[in-house]
Amino acid sequence: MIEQFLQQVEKKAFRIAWMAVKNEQDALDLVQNTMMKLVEKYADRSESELKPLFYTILQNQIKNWYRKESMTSKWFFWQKTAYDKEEENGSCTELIEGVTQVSPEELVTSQQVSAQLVAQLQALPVKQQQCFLLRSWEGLSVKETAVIMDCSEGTVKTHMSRASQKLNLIIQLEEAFDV
Amino acid sequence: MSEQIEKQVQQRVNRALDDELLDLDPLTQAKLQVARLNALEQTKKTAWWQRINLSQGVLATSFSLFMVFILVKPFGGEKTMPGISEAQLLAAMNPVLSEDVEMLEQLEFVAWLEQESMLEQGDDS
Repeated sequence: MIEQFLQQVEKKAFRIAWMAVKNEQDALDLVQNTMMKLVEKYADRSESELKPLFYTILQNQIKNWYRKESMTSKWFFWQKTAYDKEEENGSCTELIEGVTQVSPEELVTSQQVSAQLVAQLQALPVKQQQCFLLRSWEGLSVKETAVIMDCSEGTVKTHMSRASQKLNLIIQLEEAFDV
Repeated sequence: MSEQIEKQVQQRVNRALDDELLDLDPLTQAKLQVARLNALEQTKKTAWWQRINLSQGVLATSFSLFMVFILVKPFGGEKTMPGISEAQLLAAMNPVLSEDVEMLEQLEFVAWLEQESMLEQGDDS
């Protein structure tokens, strides 16, 4: 049962981790560690319990990854860490500027719109992005997402709304230019 | 932003993410498969005692204790300890006698000697 579950979830988990850390090898390591911890501690759990447990472990792995990154930034203070870049990219003005920089010519095909959407999703602040991915893409409930993200249900709803607003800017462009 | 628009945005983004997932390169897919197999393999490597859960551990410990209790102190056995004389037992219970068990045995011996000599005198007369 657990093997089937891991097979089902591994690709999405990899994309979710990759979106957060923006590094393929690190994302693979995080997913492998998550799988190992799940198998080690919760292999006997039911299928409905496995998904929230898996993503709770993955989110903890992502948080630890950022903690390690911030430790590195203290030693190599002249280099900007992924977390700093994330914060910068996460600001609302930066994002809107990024969206307006997309010309209609760039949004020629639906595939290119999809690529822009994924790029914008990746540029969101980590918590907003992860909430959106867990709630919308993985189909977890608000309550489950709140537990996984270790925040209130209200915070999840706020993250969802803000992420949707920013992503909607791309969709509006798509509709405006009838891509 | 209305709930309907929010849902539309989510559906569109989900579609984009699903499309991207279909294009995941074979090398990454293979790496994920290896990661999964590694995770599953580790359960076989763990020691037997690490695989025992709490209830199994409690059951095994209770059984061991029960067996030890049965073997060391069998039910309905002799109440007194073998190899200990009544005199020693009395001596152990009496603080005065416990001081000199040998003396008590000597007294018994003297009493026996007196008894023997009295019997001999009776025979002679």
